[in-house]
Amino acid sequence: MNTLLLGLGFGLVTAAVLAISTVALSLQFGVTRVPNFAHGELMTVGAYAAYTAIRAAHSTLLGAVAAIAAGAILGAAINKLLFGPFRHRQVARLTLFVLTIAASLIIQNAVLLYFNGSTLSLPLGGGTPHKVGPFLFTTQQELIIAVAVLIMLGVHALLRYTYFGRAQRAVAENLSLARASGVNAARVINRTWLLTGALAGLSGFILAITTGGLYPAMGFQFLLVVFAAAILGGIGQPYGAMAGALVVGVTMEVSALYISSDYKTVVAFGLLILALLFRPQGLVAPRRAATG
Amino acid sequence: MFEYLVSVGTLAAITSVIALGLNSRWGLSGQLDLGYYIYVALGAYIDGVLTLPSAHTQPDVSYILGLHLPFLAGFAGAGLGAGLVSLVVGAVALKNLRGDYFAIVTVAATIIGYTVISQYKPLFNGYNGLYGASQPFAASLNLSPQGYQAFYFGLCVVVLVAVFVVLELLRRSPFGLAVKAVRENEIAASAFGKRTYLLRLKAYVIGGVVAGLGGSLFMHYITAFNPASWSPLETFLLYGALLVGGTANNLGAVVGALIALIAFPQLTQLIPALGSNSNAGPAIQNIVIGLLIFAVLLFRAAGILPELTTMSGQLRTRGAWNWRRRATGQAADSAEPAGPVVDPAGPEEA
Repeated sequence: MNTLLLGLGFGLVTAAVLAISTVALSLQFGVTRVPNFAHGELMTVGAYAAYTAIRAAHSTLLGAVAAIAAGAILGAAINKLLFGPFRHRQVARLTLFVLTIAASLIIQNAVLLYFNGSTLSLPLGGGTPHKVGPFLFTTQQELIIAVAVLIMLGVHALLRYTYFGRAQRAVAENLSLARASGVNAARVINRTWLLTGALAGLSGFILAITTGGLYPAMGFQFLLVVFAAAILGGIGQPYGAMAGALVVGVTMEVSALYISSDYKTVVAFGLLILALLFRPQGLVAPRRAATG
Repeated sequence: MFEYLVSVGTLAAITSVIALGLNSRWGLSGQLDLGYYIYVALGAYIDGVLTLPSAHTQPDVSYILGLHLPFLAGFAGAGLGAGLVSLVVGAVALKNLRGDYFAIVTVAATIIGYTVISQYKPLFNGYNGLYGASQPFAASLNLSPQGYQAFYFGLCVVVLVAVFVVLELLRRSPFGLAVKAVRENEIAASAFGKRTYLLRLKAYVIGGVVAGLGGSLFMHYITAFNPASWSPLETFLLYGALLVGGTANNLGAVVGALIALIAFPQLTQLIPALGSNSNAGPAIQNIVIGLLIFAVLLFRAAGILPELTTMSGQLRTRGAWNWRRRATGQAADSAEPAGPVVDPAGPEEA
């Protein structure tokens, strides 16, 4: 029982990291309809930006700000520089997907070239664990979960109560209809890349904190777990993404206690494949599908 | 110098075989399979366990089988084994999934396979992998080391030519046309009575068999294979090669592999080492391939040798560029005795 609780605790922390990244991927996919293979690299760059900032200024907060800024800039750059030249052409969605693969290859290796391949670690203390309800958490882990919950509430408020959020949902639902109703779709897409880049950058930083190290392929390797969570939740559905992240995060960590931690990504990808084969519409099916 | 050229040439021939296999999946059939390289690895591993002696002779080494069979058995086994795994994976994945979902499942399946192969030691000796692969036909030939290198180069070229001819015949066969029709418009193809799932699955298995054969050649070339020597990333590099050379054109696949995977890496080796960073070489190579993919998609989306839209011979058609003349309305029929232009959804096969 104790091990199970321990696993659940770890799972919640992993789910927190995963939720931020997955919500970002899902929002971006919902609005742009491109599965972004370079999403992991947004996380990697965020983590390395935070590392550089913390090294220079010895402030965790500044590190988070650097991660957010780097992610946002890179997200906007992907939209402008990578997709920009293809905007006015009739290109298949698969072509854009291949483009994000190329971007992933370029960014990941640029990081490898600049920071070298060895694992770097963040100079942050974890703090001592203490009991919270049935779980054992360090202050750092509590903070991570709190940040994730805040971001989820923030995304909810944004989608629900702001003009930008409504416009985003409109573009995700039907691009040409949104345009016809006077929504500036190009601006919405651009801002979505900024927002999701920022969230991805931050999640990369948090990922580096929880796993304890940075390396150039960190985001790339985490990306598939993010895809698993996003698809499990129904890709393009921000609320489903939260549920998917929780399921994948907890399952991965709990399974690590019973099988072997080497196989925990196998469990995540197994879930992904099962989800795609048996429930491709996601855990939280869009209302549209329910009513036909 | 001679040895260097023969060595690079052998690698070039093997890489071309591997690129041809991917071309029958992605080019001919339009399946974005991001897990392709695992079939190359499977081919190498299966060949290894078939041709290596039993694992019990060495301490701390464990792998299945160890039958000590001759090269030809290993080669055939590699193709067969990779084909069988393709059949199982393809039967499940191609049933319901299309486009990017299919791509994500293949990459997930590859990473599962990669993790299991590296962690589960009894299968293929885990992280240490297989080593000490035999030199095919070495015992009966009795050549000098250099002579043998040249012989192996010749062997790889023979396999490359054979694979190329078979795939080219398949591309021009009614089967190849039907697969292309499914790629272009699945609904139209099924309306014409094509069994789309079966056609996709066949193209997928053919790609797997070719990958396995390439893996077998690779195994005997480097004589050792372990998880450190391949990663799921290789597949992306192969896509770079196909996009550069010309997707769905077999000659284009070979040209792309030679340019992007052989010439470029050899050239980047000429760049002086950047300080202490030992990763600089591969990193620059990957960045260049990424930029190359971007540039090709931007400026020449069809690749150096675009896909042929006629049934006629590769070289003959290309010489006349008749697909272009037809497209721009310049009469090509006088200069070009080639076959008819293929309507992708046409009912040319019963």
